[in-house]
Amino acid sequence: MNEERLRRAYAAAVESGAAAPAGEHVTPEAIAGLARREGSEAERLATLDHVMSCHECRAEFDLLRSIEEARTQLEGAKGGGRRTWLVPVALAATLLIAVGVSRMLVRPGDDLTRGGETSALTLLQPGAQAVAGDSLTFVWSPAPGARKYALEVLDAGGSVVLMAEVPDTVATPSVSAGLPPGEYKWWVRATTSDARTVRSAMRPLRLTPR
Amino acid sequence: MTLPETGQHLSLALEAVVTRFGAMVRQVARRYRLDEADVEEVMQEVRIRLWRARETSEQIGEVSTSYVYRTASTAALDVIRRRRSRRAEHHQSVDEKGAGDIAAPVAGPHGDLEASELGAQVAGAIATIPESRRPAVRMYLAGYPREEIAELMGWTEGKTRNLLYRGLADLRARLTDLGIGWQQAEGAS
Repeated sequence: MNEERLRRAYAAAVESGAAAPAGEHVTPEAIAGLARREGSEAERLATLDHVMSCHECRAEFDLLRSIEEARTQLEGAKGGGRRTWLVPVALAATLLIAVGVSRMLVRPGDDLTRGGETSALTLLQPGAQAVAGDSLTFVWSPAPGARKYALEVLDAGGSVVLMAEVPDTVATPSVSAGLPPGEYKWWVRATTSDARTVRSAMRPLRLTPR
Repeated sequence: MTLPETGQHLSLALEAVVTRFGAMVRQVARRYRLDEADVEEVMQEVRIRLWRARETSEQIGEVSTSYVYRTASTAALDVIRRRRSRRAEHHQSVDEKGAGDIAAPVAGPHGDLEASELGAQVAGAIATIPESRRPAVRMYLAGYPREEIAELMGWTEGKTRNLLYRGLADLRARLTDLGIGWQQAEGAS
């Protein structure tokens, strides 16, 4: 057995229905949620497990994912255009404040890089502390060639509590206002037009009670 | 399905947005080896919905990519639901015909039988992999690159590599237990 034969055998099993677990197909809404990266990781894993073992659901997933990716690419290209003049202006002011604040509040040892690769992407805002209950605006520096950015906020236990995918270098996820006081970490991953990923370091964020 | 009568076409501006969006969907869909007819069905549905959405085509000329995306997304879900419903009806009518009317499966050449047996063994072995690793292994065997698994699940490259490496190791161990040996040590890394 080698990997090529293994793939062929698996493809045959999926095609014949032998790989799919007994029971119902997952719902089209669950497949759409998977393609959009919505829902908890456990839910998406369960959906993905079925989708990748079921010939029919996989075709539906690929169709929905094609639509998602088309949007990301088109909005990313549009966002890239805007970034050339808008974001530097917006960031200039933020940069001056945020770099100063971060130098005061973030110790060098606080940053942890998540998952290797380069850290050419710098997190700018919020600083190390913010008030729980407010909507948070996350700002980072642009990565060369980036077509989209994924923001993740993790709680003290390392679970992802907030995730957002945006074409720009600013995100104000409304759900951030629902985060309770506590210790968090956040980071950003950029995907470039040639499918490379650029990751920021991980920055701590303390949400204090109002 | 076709658009309503001539003279009720989409505006040039809207047509440009739809065409650009459709071209991008087709480009991605080709990568997934999707049937082009699937994409065409959705894009045709998108045109009809956009045409119906406003009274005049001039008004919809101002829509953005995100509006077309939302329309395409709901149109695709409806297309999927319709197909599932048709499949269910078909299965029901086959059931009603009774087993006697259905042709018995024809045994294929020896190679096909062997491949199908191996496929069943591989599928059975994958089913025993821990749940956290299994979807990544399935996706990898289905031909998706590691970067795409990471992107879809929002995992770091390191986490993806780790889950995949361990999942494939589990799979090899299960297959070895079934008497299926490996020519060489291979991995996803």
